[in-house]
Amino acid sequence: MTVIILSLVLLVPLAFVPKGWVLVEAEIAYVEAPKVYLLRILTALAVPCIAILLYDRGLRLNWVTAAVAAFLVWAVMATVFSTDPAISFWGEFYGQDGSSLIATLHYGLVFCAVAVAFNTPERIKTLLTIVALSGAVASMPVILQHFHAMPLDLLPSGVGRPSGTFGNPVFAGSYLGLTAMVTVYLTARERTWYSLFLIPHVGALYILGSRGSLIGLAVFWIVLALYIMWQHADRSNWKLWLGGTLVLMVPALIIGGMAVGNGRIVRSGEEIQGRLTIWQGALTLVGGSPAFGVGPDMFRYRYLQISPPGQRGVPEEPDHAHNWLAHSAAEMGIGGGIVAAGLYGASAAVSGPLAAVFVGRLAEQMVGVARISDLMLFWMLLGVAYQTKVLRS
Amino acid sequence: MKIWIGIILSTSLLAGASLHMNMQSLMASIYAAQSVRAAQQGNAAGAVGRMKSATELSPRVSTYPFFLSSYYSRSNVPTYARREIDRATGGNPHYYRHWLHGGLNLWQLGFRDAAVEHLEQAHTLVPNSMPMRELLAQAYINMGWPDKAVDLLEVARRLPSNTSWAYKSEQLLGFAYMDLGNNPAAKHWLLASLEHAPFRWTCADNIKALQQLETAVSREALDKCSKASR
Repeated sequence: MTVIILSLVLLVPLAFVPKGWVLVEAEIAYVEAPKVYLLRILTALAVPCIAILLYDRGLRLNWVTAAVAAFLVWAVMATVFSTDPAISFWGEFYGQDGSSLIATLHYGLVFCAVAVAFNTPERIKTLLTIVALSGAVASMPVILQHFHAMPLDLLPSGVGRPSGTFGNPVFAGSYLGLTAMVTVYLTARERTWYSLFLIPHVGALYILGSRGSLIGLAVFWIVLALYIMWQHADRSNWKLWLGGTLVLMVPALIIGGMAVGNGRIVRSGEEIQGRLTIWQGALTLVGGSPAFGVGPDMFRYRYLQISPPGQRGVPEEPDHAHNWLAHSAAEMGIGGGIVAAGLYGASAAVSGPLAAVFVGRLAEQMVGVARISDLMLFWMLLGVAYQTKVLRS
Repeated sequence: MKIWIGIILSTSLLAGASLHMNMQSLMASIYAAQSVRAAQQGNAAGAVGRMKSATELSPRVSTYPFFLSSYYSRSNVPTYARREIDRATGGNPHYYRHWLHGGLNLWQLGFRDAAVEHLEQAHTLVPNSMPMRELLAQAYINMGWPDKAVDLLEVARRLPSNTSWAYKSEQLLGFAYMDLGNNPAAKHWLLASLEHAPFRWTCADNIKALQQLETAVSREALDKCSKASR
C-alpha cells in the first residue's frame, strides 16, 4: 500500500492526457479527469489493504481522528439533508472533482491509508520527500510554459497564464504552495539538500502569481520562525529571541515582495470586490440553510439563484466560495464550517513544527480554491499529523 | 475476528464496485471524445454509436445526451433528439445551461411549447440573469404571448437598468406592447431603448417598429377623422 500512496503523490498532480482524448463537462477535462480517475481507482485498489491494516494496527482516538471522523459524519448528514442528495452524493458533474460525498470519502480513505501505513519516522520522511520531489517536478511545466518551451499544449483555450499540469493557475498555486511548505519544513528539520527542491518551486510560484499561495507561504514561514525561536532560543534573553525571530522572518518579507512584484496585486481592486461579493453570497446561503447547508456540491446551483446581475446583467457563476470555511459552511451548514475548521485546528495542535504547514495552508485557503491534487495532499498530511501525535505519545 | 472478516470483505466488495464504476466512467469519457472526433470527420454513424456507448456506460453525465441530440438533429430525427434533451435535463435538473441549451435546441426542432417550458425552468434557476430573461421574453413574443413578456420584463425594470445592456429589455417591452396594441407604451419603450443602444446597427429594428407604429397611429387618426366627417 505504501507504493500506492507514493504513486498517488507522484502521479496525480502530473496526470494529464492530450487535449481531445477524454470528454466530460469540464473544459479542462484533459488534466482533471485523469487525476480524478487515477485517485479513485488507486484508492479503491488500496481499500482491502487499508481494512486489513486497520484490523491489525487500529486507529487511535486523538484530536486528529476525532476531527476527521466528525468531518466525514457531518458530510454524510449534509448529503442526506441536501436539497438534492443524489447530486450531493455523486457530484454536480459525475466523474469530476468537487466537494461531493463520494469525493470526500475517497479523501477519507487516503487519510486512513497514510495514518495506518506510514507508522514510522522513516516512512513519514520518505512520504514527505516524495511530496517535495513531486512539487519540484510539477513546477517544471509551469516554468517551461512561461518561456514557451513546453512541448505539450496543456494551456486551456484562451488562457495565457501558465498553469502547468493543473489547468488553472489557482489550482497550480494551491498545490505548489503546499509542496513548497513541506519542502521548507523538511529543509529545516532534516538536511539542507532538500532546499534544492525549493528552486523550481520559487520560480513556478512567482510565475503563477497566485497571491493566495504566496500569502499562505509567508504566513507559514512566520509561524515556523516563531516555533523555531520558541523551541531553541533562550527565552530569558528577549533581545536575542526578538532579533532571531526578525531575522528568520526576512524570507516571509521576500515572499510578500514577490506577491507585489509580479504586478498582479496592483490589479486587485476589482478582484477583491468580486471575492467580497462571493463571500457575501456564501453567507447568505448559510443564513438560508444554517443547519446542514445547501448540500455538498450544490454551491454553484444555489449561488446562481441569489447571484446579483453583474457585467451586462449576467450573474457570476462561481462553483466555489474561494474560502474553505465559507464554502464548507454554505454547503454543510454552520456545523460543517466548524468541523472544517476543526480539521486544521486539530492537526495544527498535535503536529509540532508541521503545524506551520497547516496554518499556512489555512491562510492560503482563505482566498484560494482546494482542488484534487492539493486536497489529496492535505488529507495525506492529516494522516502524517495523526502519526506524529501517535509517535510522540 | 469474524466481524472483521465481514468488514474487510464488504469494504472490498464496495471498493470493487467503485473500481468498476470508475473504469466505466473513464471508458465513457474516451468513447465520448472519439465520438466528437468522428463527428468532426463526417462519420455520423460512428459518432452516434460511440456517444451511445458513452451514455450507456456513464448515464449520470448529462453532456453526452446533449451531443447525441445534436447528432440526431443534424440527421433530421427530431423525436430522438428531443428524447435525448429530456434525458440530459432529467440527469441534472439544477444546471440552468442544460435547460437553456435544451430549450434553444427544441425551438429549432419545432417543439416550441416544450422549448418555452425549458426556458422557463432555466429562468427559475438563474432569476437575476438579464440575457436569460430577455430570451424568455422573446420566446413569449414569438409564441404570441406578449402579456407574459410584459410581466416578465416589467419585473426586470426593478433591476439596475441605466446601462447600455438594458436596450434589449426595453426594445422587447416595446415589441410586446405593440403586439398588445398599447401604442403609446410601445413608442415610449422603443425610444428609451434607442438611448441605450450600444451600436448603430442595433437601432434598425427599433426604427422599423417605430415607423410601423407611426403608420398605425396615422391610420387610426384617419379612421377617426373619417367617422367624424360623416
